[in-house]
Amino acid sequence: MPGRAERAQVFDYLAFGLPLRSSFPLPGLLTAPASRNALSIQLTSRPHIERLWSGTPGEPVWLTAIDGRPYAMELGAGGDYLMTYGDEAVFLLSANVRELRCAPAEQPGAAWQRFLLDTVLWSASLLSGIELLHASAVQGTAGVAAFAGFSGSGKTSLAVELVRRGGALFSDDILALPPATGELQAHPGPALMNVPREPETCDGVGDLGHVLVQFPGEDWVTVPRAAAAPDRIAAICLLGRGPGRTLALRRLQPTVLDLLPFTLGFPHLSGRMRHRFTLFAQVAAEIPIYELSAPPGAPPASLADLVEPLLFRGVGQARAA
Amino acid sequence: MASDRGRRTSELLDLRARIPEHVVHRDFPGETVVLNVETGQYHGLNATAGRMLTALEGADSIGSAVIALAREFGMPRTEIERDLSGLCLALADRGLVELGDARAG
Repeated sequence: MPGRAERAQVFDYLAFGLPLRSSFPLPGLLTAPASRNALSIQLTSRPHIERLWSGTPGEPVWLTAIDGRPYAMELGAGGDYLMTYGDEAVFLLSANVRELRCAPAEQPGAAWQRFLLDTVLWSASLLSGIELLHASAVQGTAGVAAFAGFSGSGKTSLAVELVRRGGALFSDDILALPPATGELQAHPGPALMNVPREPETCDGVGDLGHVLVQFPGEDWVTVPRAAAAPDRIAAICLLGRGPGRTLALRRLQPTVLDLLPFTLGFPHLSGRMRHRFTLFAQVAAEIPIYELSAPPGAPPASLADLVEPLLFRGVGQARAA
Repeated sequence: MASDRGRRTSELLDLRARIPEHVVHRDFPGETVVLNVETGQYHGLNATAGRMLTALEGADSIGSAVIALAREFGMPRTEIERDLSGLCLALADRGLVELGDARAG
């Protein structure tokens, strides 16, 4: 039973452009000044969440499997969202994206916290009006370089390699882009990575950071060398890895259509299409976009050699064709 | 609108092509991308068609867009009329423009 002083403690963070105020400490998040607009994160029980949820007779708005567990996101009649992550945890996000209640099956537990700090938080960010790109990102002296790609394309392995070369982790998997009136700025995700434990594609955690938990096939790692503030995007590389491809970095003359496959959205939020189109059209028009292609077995170091000059000023010319 | 298909070029020239609220577009070097928010479909126009769309957007009738484009491209007016009419009908079929009375609003 927590004491009186402990109950009163709050932790202010920032992730995916979203100010957070948690009633319990969370790993890998940027601490931030308290914000009136923060999303309040609280622990509660599953029966309490079930009582609070406005309920829906309809189909889930998103039904999938994440890390081997079924995941359902349901929209309530009152606009709130019930997120059920297997037997691990249930989350309830209020309609105004100001309150998030978490009911884990067991505390402490790593799997539910990893899910909270990834899918639940980026979903809240998206629902609050921030646009998202499925990309890892690393910050260097030239700004942020993002590596957009589908699952298994090597986003994380490339980011690990670039952090080892002196970059700061900006995001492992999701790049947040709040609405902008002037220069586009990206907001960092948690300083956490899911590093694959595969010798042929990644050298393991090593000096990258501290392993929080070992999951099947990958380590959940906190990365001390991580970005502490929003930053301008210096370049976006679209990762294409597959048989028949050669290792190459090629500057594109992009349109919004090149980026849209890597954006995130929920099918029921079709009203957001116009906003997403406008923002990513601005990205395509203003930010250098590259195609980074590689054969399946290309080591991350060889990709990093090509993109390193995009990230660090004075590291020679980008080796783009 | 399917009925527009039967319209003669001379009738079309008196109409105005308006881009409806549910359509958003952006020019890029070499291509204009158009999104129909109602259908969720994206459409690509080459540079010439993209320029024609911009001309239509700023003109009070399709006929006056023809005059401006013929001057800009240095092409015979009849050729522009044919191409622009075809484009207007194709865009209208996809809900990307609405053809209406040039005198209205």
